[in-house]
Amino acid sequence: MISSTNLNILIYNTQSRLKAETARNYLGFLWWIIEPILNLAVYYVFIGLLLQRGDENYIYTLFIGLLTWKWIAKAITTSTGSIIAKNGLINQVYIPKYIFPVSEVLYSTWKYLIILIFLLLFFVAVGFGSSLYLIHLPPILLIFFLICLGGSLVSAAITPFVPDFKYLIPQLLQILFYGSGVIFDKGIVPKKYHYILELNPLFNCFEALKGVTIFKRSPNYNHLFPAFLIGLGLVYLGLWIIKRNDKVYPKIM
Amino acid sequence: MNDVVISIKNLGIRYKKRGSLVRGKKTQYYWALRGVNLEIKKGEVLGVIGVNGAGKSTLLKAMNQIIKPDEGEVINRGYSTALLSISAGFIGYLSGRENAILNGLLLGMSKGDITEKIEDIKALSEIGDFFEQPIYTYSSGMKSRLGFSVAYYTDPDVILVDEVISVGDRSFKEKSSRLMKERIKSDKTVVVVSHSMSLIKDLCTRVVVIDKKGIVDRLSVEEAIAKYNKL
Repeated sequence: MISSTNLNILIYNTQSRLKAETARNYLGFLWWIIEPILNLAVYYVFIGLLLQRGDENYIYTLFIGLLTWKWIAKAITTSTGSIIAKNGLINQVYIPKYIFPVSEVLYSTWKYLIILIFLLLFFVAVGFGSSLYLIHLPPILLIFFLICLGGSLVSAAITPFVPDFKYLIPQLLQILFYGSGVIFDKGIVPKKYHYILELNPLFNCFEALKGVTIFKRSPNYNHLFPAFLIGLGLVYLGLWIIKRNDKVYPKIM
Repeated sequence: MNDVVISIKNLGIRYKKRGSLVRGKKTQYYWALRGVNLEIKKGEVLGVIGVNGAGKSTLLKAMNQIIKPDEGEVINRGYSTALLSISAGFIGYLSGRENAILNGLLLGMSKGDITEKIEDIKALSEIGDFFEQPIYTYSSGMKSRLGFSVAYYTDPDVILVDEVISVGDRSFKEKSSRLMKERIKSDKTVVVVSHSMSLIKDLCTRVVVIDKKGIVDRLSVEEAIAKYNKL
């Protein structure tokens, strides 16, 4: 399906993305850890300490939720222009265009996994983690990954044809962000509106994620299945569009 | 010697003119190439000449399988092609070595091939210790030396040349030009696009003139150049 040369290009491209950050900044790869920690510290100070919102678990659900959200949002945002950015290159050599968004996704995912390990260790230290529930984490992360990959492929595939799309993507992500329960707990929403939230497949994924990492709750796989299908569907759709237009992209840029 | 490497049949490639939904204009196209028929034979050095905008670069891209024809077809009988490009895909913060590997991969070399040839590439480029430094520390001449060296070791079945065959300062220009000419004059199949008639005369075994009415074939090198000079 993927030739060894293409696989090598993909790996090399992703490594070079990772290297960009370590090579260009003085603190190098420490930024992968410092940046999210600073980010969470801001929320901790304003929401956890100053506003005193939510119960004591709230700030931790916010941590895991925000990190996971940033992983997905950043992959999709950077993928959006990833084919266009290589305009010069793809006009000189043939490269399968899916390589560009997939590199962005692998790059974000790698960074996310590293910080996730730190966060989980921290959770264990404060007494949340339990291996009994964490075994559910890989399938949940897989679903997130599929959605992340699918969203990135689709947005990278469409944007060269409809450049306006890049203005729409941040708005769409914003809506999804507020609708996914990253920054609020289900409990603060009146019960009669829960069904609306549950219509959003991402909401159920975040519920499951918070459940297994903090609340010692097993996920409801029936609720996760639609998200899994949507993720797969997006991946398929994105690859299909890119494959169909593989030799059209150089012409329109 | 007369095996056909690539055959182009009734090739047409069009580009979209800028459109906008708001102004409600229908999408318009213009044809960069239309009705082009051409056969590239094994071992020949084919020169393609024509005025700016005649579609020469588009033709090279079609031969290189980068873009898909809108009409007709480009049939490649299983030969690897590569644009002898000297600027494709260098990344500033990667070292010369890493860029050479990446560029080699992009130009279709296998990882093993590159590992084998990487020291030769370094030697040919004559950039010495800079090879391990990030590319943003390079002068533009050093970048083109590196680009040339990678391209030189790529060695595809069909070399596509867009304008430039030599790069760098005087001494490197002489060396790169000599190497490329040797390569081109060996049994390589080469397609050269150039505005330099002396280069065309020097290298090519056959020349085609391309204009809005399609390709003019079956002229001798001198006739073709004379025709170009009248355009």
